[in-house]
Amino acid sequence: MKHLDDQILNQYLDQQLSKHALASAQAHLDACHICRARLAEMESLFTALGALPDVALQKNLAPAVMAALREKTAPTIWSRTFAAQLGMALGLALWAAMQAAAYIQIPQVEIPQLPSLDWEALLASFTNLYLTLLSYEIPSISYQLPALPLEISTEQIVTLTVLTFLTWAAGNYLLLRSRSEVRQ
Amino acid sequence: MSSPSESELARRVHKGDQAAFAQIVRLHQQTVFNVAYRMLGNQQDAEDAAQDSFIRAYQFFDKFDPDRPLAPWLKRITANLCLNRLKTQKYASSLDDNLPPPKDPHPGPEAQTVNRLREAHLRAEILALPPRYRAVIELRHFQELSYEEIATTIKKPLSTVKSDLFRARKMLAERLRESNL
Repeated sequence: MKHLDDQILNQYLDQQLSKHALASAQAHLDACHICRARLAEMESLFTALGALPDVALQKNLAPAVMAALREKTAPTIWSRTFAAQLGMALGLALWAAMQAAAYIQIPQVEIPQLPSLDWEALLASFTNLYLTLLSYEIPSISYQLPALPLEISTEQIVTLTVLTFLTWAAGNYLLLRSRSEVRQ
Repeated sequence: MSSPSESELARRVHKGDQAAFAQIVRLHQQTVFNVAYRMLGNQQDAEDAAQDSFIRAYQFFDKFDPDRPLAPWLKRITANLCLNRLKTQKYASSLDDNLPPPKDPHPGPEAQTVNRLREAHLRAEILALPPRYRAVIELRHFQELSYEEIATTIKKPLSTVKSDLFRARKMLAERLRESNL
């Protein structure tokens, strides 16, 4: 007599056999004491597993869980996204400044030479330097922007830049605020 | 004043109410802890795993349907988390020497001792199984998931789940038979 394989026995106990397979298995079990013994051993295991009681939890986990969640969800300005955008903005500003430098003409300024270390002379020199600086006039920087294909005035460019910056800052603020999961 | 239902608590959590989630933790911590304890065998590790399970549940709470019961979802998260820990840390389980008292103590000191020994032995044999066998035993016998649900939970093919489950049972039955318990 061919015995039931483990798969059939397991599925029999899990009630996963089709009607036909179940009837066939039942008929075999009725006739085979060896398979009935194997089934009884499996049933005994199922019973033991089912009877395994719960173990009492020794402490309340809620405070530690909530503390960990508060730490994880605390809002931070310096998110990766914000830092990346700031880096890109600074990089762009630096590049623009380097491009603009080619069009800016800064006049040469003579820096007065300090005399050798003679205290009286040094003091007199510092006094002279101080008076010179007081009377120093910042030279006017003349520059010429490259001709743009568009007819946009300097005031319009500055206004556009300021508006873009404000829009970017507002967008980041809203984004960071929406990511916060802390409710007061 | 009646306490809020589980669905109501879940809806509040969806809206960002952390106090509601704290209530959910208090309601289900015993269950979640026991899943972790059966898989890890150690009180401290089970408490840590239970805490991490709740944290993970909160992070994925937007994917949870508030009209469904919470316990099965939390238990699956815990089983998966414990299984990942066992796999990645090459976990060497150390079964507690002094198990905490069972939830339902049996009457009579002698019977209690015998039962506790049997339970300790069964727990030790479950912990001696490879992690993937431990997981399928937990999900089938303690969480009553179907073969298909187990396959979905641990992301394994159905044939693998059946094979692992049947082998795990066979190993447990043989070991328990050898020890005559």
